[in-house]
Amino acid sequence: MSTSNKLPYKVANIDEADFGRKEIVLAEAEMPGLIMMRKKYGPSKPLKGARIAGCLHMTIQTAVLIETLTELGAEVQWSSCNIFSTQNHAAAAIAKTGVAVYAWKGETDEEYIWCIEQTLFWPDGGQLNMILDDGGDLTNLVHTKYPQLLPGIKGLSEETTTGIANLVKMMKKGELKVPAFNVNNSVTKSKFDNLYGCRESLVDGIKRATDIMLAGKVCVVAGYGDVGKGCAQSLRSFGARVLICEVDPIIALQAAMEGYEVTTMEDAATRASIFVTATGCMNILRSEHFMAMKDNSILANIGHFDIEVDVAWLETNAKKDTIKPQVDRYELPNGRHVILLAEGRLVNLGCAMGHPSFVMSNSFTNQVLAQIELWTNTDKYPVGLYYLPKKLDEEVASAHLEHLGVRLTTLSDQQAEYLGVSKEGPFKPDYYRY
Amino acid sequence: MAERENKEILPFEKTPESLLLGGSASAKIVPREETVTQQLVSPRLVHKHYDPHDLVSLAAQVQQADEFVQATTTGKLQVVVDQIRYLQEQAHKILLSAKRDAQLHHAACNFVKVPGKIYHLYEKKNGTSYFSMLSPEEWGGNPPNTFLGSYKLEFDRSWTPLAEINEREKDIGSIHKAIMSAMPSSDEPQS
Repeated sequence: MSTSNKLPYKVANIDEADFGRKEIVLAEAEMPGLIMMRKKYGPSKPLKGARIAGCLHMTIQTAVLIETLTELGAEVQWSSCNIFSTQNHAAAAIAKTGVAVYAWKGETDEEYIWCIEQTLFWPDGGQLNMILDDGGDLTNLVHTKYPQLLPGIKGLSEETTTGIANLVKMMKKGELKVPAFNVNNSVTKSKFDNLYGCRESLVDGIKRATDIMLAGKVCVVAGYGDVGKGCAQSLRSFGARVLICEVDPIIALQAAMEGYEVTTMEDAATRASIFVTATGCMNILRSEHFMAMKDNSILANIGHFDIEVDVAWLETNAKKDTIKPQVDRYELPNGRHVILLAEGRLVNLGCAMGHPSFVMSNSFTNQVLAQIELWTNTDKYPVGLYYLPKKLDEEVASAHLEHLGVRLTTLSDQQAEYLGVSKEGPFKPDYYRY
Repeated sequence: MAERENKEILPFEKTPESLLLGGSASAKIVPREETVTQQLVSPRLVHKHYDPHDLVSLAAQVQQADEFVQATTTGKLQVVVDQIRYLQEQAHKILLSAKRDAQLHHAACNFVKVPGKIYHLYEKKNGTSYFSMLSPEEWGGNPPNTFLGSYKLEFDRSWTPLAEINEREKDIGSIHKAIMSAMPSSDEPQS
């Protein structure tokens, strides 16, 4: 592709930059981990020379991540990893600082790829040398369509469960050509962002879209992983009765012992009025379920990809009526209706503002550490899939304690010796599950 | 004695010859004399017939006046007819552009359109049209769908085709100027 006429950025409305900046300032106050990274690494600029192409929801929180990366010396180009998740004012504020960002809320699928492609090449004709990915679309695009760029890429860090599953698949097939860091499975990411983030943002999305009363309703959560746990807890706390669908016996037992009824979707379809998918798998809600549902049942997906709800079937077999952007009511052949949120894509980002800043600070501090590690210690990491060391995980958590007024207890020498750990950590063995 | 005196001053009892004028002078009736009468009124002029066809000419004048009135009225009405015709054209234009605006607003669009921005209309293979933020140039001249045109969304939610943007901006600019010159400047201190 030609780079001579490369756009400096493409956002919905650059005039929203000032508003975005104000919200970025607010977010910074809630993102102590990233601010600590700036203080600690800002002066030494460990990311100098790094050309990071990022593909991650272009939100206010991501804006703070981007500005942390640039403060650490990196050059950054950005696209969003979801066609609905961009917050236009955040993108505008970042574009105004001179960072090449290509993202707006409501891209088409083709434009989405266009946006990612814009981040591969630099205006001087050079290419990216680092990837920061969420979901694996950028990683896949480079591996399939631009393999000539792979030798120049030193590493990639992946944000989410779905992206990790993709990387594992690629590893197995021998297709992965770049050392990769699994940021998702840092404890301070998946056990926080996925759980506590969704616990607040799922209901935010459902409520902004439909204003539905949750108390007394029967809700189904398909998938009781970290995300599902957060969703179920949140729905229950509003007074909903929550059913869980699970394939994994261990997790099904967890759900049952938390007091949830665990059942199949076939059974749940006739009983529930709100359906949430959080599986990371495909074809969870299908035609037979839609047809069995009560009138005006609400369908929301909070898994990374839009493959959990069979939207294609609805599009061809039901009559669509758009209530407002990202809220569609379908009239089924049986005369009943279902209300689909965010076209079956991430409901918390499509219908609300995604996760709150504080929990994203945990995730993104891991991203920054992964990028520094891959960029500065490239030789230590041949092609493969790596985790951040537990010590760094603990550091990320530490950075967030003060903001919450946490008073941490210190081990005495005697106690430390008894447990057989160092007083400064790491406190748990690698196999510990938290 | 008193009766007698009263009788003496009654004028009707006096002869015309003794009619007192100014108390002392008196006027006499003289016999009619042709020459004197002729001097007072010219019978030649009084009895002259200027035009023996006066009535005809009056009728002609009335007819002419009717024609004038008709002509003037027609002239005046012509202006109105012209105006009606112009207004009809205007109305037609407005309805056409309203139809186009409505059609454009109904094109599929996933994002919130911002007035003042230019958007690009494409048609998918299945015939549905949609608005995009990307111009064909930004696609490197090779957009994935058929390009139909670029439009600017105005603040009144109407659409201006790309080719007419400059003209419309000029119009709006001069209207704005006129408004500004007609209105007292808000910068001026309020007394």
